[in-house]
Amino acid sequence: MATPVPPPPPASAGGRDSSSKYFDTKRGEVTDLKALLRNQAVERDPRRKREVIKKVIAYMTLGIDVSSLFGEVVMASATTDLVLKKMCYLFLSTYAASNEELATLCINTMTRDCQDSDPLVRGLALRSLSSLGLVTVTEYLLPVLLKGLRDPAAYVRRNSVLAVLKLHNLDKAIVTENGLDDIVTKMLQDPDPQVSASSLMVVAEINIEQGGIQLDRALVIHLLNRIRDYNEWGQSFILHLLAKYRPESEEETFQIMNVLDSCLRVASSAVVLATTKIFLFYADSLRHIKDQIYMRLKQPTLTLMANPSPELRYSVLKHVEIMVTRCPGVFDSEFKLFYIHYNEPSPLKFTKLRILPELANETNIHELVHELTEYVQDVDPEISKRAIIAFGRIAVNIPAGADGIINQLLEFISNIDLDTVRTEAVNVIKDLLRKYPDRSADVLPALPRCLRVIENPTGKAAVIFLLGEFGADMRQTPYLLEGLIASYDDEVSVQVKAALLTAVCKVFFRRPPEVHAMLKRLLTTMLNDTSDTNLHDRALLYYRLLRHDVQEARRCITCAKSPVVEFAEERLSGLKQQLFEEFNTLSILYDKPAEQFVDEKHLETTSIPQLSFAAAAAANAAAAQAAQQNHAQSYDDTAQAYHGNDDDLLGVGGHASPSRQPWSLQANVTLDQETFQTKWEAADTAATLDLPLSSCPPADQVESLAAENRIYCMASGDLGHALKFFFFGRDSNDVLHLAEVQLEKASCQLTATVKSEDPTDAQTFADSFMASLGALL
Amino acid sequence: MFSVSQFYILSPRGDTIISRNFRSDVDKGTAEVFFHSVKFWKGDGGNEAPPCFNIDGVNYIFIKQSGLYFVCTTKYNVSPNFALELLARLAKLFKDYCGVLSEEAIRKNFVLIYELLDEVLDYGYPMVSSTEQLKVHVHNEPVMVDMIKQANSFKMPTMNQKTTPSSSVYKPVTLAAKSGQQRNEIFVDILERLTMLFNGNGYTLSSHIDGSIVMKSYLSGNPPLRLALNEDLVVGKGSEAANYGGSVVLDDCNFHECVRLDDFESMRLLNFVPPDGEFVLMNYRITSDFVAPFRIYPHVEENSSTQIEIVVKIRADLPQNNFGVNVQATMPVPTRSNGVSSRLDSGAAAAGQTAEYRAKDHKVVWTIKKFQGGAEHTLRAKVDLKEPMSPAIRREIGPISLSFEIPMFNASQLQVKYLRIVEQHRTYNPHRWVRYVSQSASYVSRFSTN
Repeated sequence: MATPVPPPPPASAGGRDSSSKYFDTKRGEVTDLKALLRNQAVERDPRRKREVIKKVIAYMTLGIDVSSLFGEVVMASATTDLVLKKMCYLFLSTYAASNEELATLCINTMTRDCQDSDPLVRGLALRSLSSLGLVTVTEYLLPVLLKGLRDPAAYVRRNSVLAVLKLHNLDKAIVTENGLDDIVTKMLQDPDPQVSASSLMVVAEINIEQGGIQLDRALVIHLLNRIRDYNEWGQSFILHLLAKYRPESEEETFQIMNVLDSCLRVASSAVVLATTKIFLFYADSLRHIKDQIYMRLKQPTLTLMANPSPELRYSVLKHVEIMVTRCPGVFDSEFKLFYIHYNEPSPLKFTKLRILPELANETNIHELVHELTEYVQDVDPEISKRAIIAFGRIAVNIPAGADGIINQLLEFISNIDLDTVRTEAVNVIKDLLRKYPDRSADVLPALPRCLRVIENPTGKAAVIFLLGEFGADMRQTPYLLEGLIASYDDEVSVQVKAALLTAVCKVFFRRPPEVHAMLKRLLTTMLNDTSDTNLHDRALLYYRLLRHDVQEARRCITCAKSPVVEFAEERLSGLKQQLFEEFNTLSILYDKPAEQFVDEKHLETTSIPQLSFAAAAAANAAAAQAAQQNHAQSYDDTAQAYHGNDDDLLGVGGHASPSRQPWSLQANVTLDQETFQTKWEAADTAATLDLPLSSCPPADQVESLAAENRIYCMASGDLGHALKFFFFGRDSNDVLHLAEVQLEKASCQLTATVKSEDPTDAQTFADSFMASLGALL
Repeated sequence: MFSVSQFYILSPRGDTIISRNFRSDVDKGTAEVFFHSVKFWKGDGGNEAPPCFNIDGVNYIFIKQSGLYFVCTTKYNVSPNFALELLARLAKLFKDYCGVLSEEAIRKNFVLIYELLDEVLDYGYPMVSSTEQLKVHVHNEPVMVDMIKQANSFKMPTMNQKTTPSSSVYKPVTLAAKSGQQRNEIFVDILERLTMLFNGNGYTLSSHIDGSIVMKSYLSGNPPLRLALNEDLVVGKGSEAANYGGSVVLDDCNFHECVRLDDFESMRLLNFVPPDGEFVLMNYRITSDFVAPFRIYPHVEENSSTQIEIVVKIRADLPQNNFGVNVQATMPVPTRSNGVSSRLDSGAAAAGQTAEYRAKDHKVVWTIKKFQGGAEHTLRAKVDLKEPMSPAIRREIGPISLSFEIPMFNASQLQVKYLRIVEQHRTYNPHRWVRYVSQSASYVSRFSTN
């Protein structure tokens, strides 16, 4: 039923009239200006002339098109008055692209100025000429540019170096053909730090497609030696590039850190964070002093947080957030600095609410929980919601505090008369009970009340889920569910309806006689409810399952849920790793890797060579050169590679067959005890280790060292004469490795038995375990 | 790549005052997109835009100062702190060159601003940004804006007029250098921002000081200077020296890039050649205990089921000759209230005290123009409730936030012992203005929960 498109209403024609009339008045003024510029009297009076040109620039800023004055401005630019000249050049570089033909008129003046005796004029002319952005200009630009790069004045050289970049972006060929890129590369060593820093920026951008600039050792030393000569912009940029450089030895790593230590004491957050990035990367390869490096970084970053500018504080906080998750414990003692201020912008508050739970430990948990309780009562519902989520994080991180937190959440539900608070609290409890199922007895009595008061669908669905999952044995449960079924038609939320179906089924399996009838009623209602296809199909699926085989249905619907060890966002460890590699970029503020928001043309590769543990020995030499071509995958792997290589003296090395993909261990693997036991019993011993340690470390140190290498502890215990551990890890081929480790206290002798799903890589796993204990050998 | 595409300054209403395109790889019209996004921000639960965001592949980075938006755009994944520091530096430069930072000053000096921009940024890369290095390249003379008018129309965020020693701090740097009868002067501010959190019983839950030494130099010839701090100053809270009582303990500090620290460890001396214009010589942070300048004692009395009385007592734990100025206590009251009547000490009105109920925000604002050291003031606010008192209503009372400024006082005891010109000539004796100011950053007292 296409209605005919009406002809353009006359109003639009009228609109055009009026707009052109408006434009005419403006054009009138522009015409006046034109006349003024041609006026002889103005011509002779530099003050008046300045005023007129100033007016032109004012119009330009307002967005009025004054490009018709191009010719007059070109004429005016031929002056000895520098203020006037600068204004003219600003105008010309703004409008050149849209007045290509007329633009050639100014080339003459500008090239002449490039030969001026005053370096300020030469520099200005070079900058303006190269900023015109016209291909037709290139042939005139080239000769003056070649000369400018050798100019005795640093200002001219600096502007020339940037002119090379502008030229490159207009016409790549002309730059390479004339060897301009090589000249600029040589100018990295220019005695003037400004020129040197600019050359670095230019070379890096010219080579962006090849992954940026390639830093070799000589250049690194050169830059480090004079790092304090550069201004903060130069320093930040150099440090940014340095983060890609891998020192060849541990000694060199320390040397670089010593030189850069002074960069942590400056007020510029750009410099401090760029330095921090380098230290953080090094900390990954120097695991035995990782904590010390983080401790060194802690105070400077906290001082940046004291900056009066909320914008800078926000960015620093986001970076602290990454550091806190990367090295838990370091910032704990300073948790009070992360308390919310009543007068700060909400992005800052939200970030603090994400950091605070990560700082909780058994000593400060009480104080922290108390503070968060205050936030729950904040007038801003968003703050109170996020504070409750923070409670959940703490309870997951610190099992000892879980009891208290669940009780606190229950108290919120009964005492705080806000639907948002109740919803969020019951949601968090739902997640927590999956980790601490034995706590369900305390929660269940609160559910009937929750059901009455909570209106939000998410909250309601969470209560229903809890009823089905944990409440099957509670006396009231069938009655509560019956009530919900009765009011099914009043319910609008699909989420609630779906939760109800599952819950009723679960209870049915436990108490068939009581629930049979109501399940039937619910299924009938739902099968007749066609308001939502998914819901309808789900009901149908359940119905058919139940008809087919009740036992089978039971198995499907009440399947055992894996215990929650951490929240889903934590499991995206790959993302976290990627973000970590992009430290000190916008990625950290967006919580997104660069490839998701930067187009290909502007994307800079992280340039960390991909190395595997097994290939370490061979790749170590190559790593220094291969700085960019390989796409970075995981810095962790690189770090391990170096680590492995260090230990090569002990005979650790390439065991993996070359045809398989590089061997590494997956991060954040979880395993439950039962699986461990079954797998352990099923497999044969695939590798053994027998190591003398220099001293007998405490159990938690062994565990944390192993965990850093992604070998996780299932259980540990003290046998009196020895410590006993069970470890597991999953490698990149998805093979599970298990290890039983015994450490004799008296002799410091460590023995390990490794069993694997696939014994091929068992020895590699054993070696990796040994390498992780490197600090104790 | 640390390069920006565009830079602009927008007025509080969103008008473009300054706009410069450096790389032409970002479309025009981003200023409108930016302003619209910030004004109507929706994302991640908040309605306040974070300082960096991305729309259609363009990164917008901004700071807000004196009500103006300083914005840059880029397509590169830049270091956010690099860009934010750059914007802050530009704002500072404009202030140095125009004398003040305000919409009027920028509008009147737009050509000067463009000139500065072009010298600082080339193709979007920052080159030089120090005030004195730019002096050679900047030829426009600043147009002065009327300071008196400024002070009224525009609330200066840092200082109030009373603590400003002379209007000369609003002098543009270039004008100061060019005028013949300029005075050689240097201003040193020891500025401390206090964060305090009390519970309802007056117990301190958390406290810290963020301090800075801010300088503004109009010294001709930029002579090398030496500044001495307390000799017993300790840096590093956990260090051994920190355990001895009596000394000032800084958790950490950082310095302007001009500072040489050769004599800092041994003698607590800072050697530096001051750059022109305003700069932060040193930032420091203190978390060890200090005497809170104001203590707040709030409590709630239930007169009847529908009337409560909130009593707030504030005491200035300051030396007798010190005083707080523009002290303002803000206290949320229940939203379900019919009205609030406040009562102050007798003679309070004469002392410049006012209490005002802002019904729209459900807040009582209590202002004390001058709060003498050792004095104590009380506010009694009777609140008539629309419904009987309940825990929900109780929760809406408080916390009280206090904002203030205390001239010639610093909570930390950090001191500038002296400020000297290293090679002193008899003829060269500049004026040195040293001020101490303590301000509230976040100064809050909660009500007791029972």
